[in-house]
Amino acid sequence: MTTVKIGDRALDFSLTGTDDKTHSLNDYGSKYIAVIFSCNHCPYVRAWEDRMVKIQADYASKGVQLIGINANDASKYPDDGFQNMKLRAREKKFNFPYLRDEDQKVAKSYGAERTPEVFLFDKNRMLQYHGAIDDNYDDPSAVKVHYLRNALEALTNGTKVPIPETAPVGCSVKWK
Amino acid sequence: MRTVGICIKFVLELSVLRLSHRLELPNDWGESGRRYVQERNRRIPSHFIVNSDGLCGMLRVTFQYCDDCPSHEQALTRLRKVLSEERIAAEIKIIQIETDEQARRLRFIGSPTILLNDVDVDPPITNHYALACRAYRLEDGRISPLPSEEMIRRAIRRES
Repeated sequence: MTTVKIGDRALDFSLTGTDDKTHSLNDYGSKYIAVIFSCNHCPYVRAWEDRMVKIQADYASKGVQLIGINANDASKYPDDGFQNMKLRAREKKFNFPYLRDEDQKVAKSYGAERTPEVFLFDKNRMLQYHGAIDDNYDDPSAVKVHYLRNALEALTNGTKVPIPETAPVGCSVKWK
Repeated sequence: MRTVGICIKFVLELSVLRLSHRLELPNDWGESGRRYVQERNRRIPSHFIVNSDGLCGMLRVTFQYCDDCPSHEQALTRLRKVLSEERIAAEIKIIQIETDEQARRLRFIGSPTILLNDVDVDPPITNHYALACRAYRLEDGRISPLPSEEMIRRAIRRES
């Protein structure tokens, strides 16, 4: 199992999204890419989902692209099946691609362990931030440190990411 | 002498409680009887509870969790806090769910699950049992991996 570490290059993938199109990193040119391993059933993801949508909306004009990837075993967790992903993307008005990693190869190659878990790459596809979205899954109004936002601010302003790594908080990835 | 009589009478009634699981403090027992109840509360069998009004009942508290889900410690702390605030001296039966088979057998829909007298503090509408984290919808509509204190408190008052 490969783990992408800070400074490592992003591993490309080719996955089907809830729009029924195939998505790969090359589709996104020189954007800053935040790959977020996610799913449907996890309450931590569900607590953070609206903030993910807001972050995408706030940073789209600065060349940032979030990409959600669900690798969970849908045979044991049917809420995480592809059709339910489509429903969730529609319901929450996801403004970013939500991709299905059916054979879990992408999640394994990245070393993803939790949902949600962020891997933020710069325009050269080098990993600059890895970990949680912020420090409070429970209450958006009580967030003290906006890890992902702060990392995006730094990257888009050409400065160093203040906290490059945090422990991701959430459900474990449900392996087959 | 009257106090001794009240205490003897109360001990007898407490014996009846063990059989009937219900005791109401008679109006004529006075302050000494109530103090006895509150003192007894600290030493009664774990599954009996005496609340601040002196009413006895049985509250079985079960806490089910899976180790993989990070919220269980916080949920247990929250449960203990609310039980303490409600002055309920109930022993918490803690069960770690470790396999899919155990989850199915115990009808475990996710971690953490709190049962009061075998009733979920937030009765689910699903019958999918699995080793997974559980999503609670809070009073303000937010999704959380933990039940709120208010949710636990409402359930305790319902079952007490």
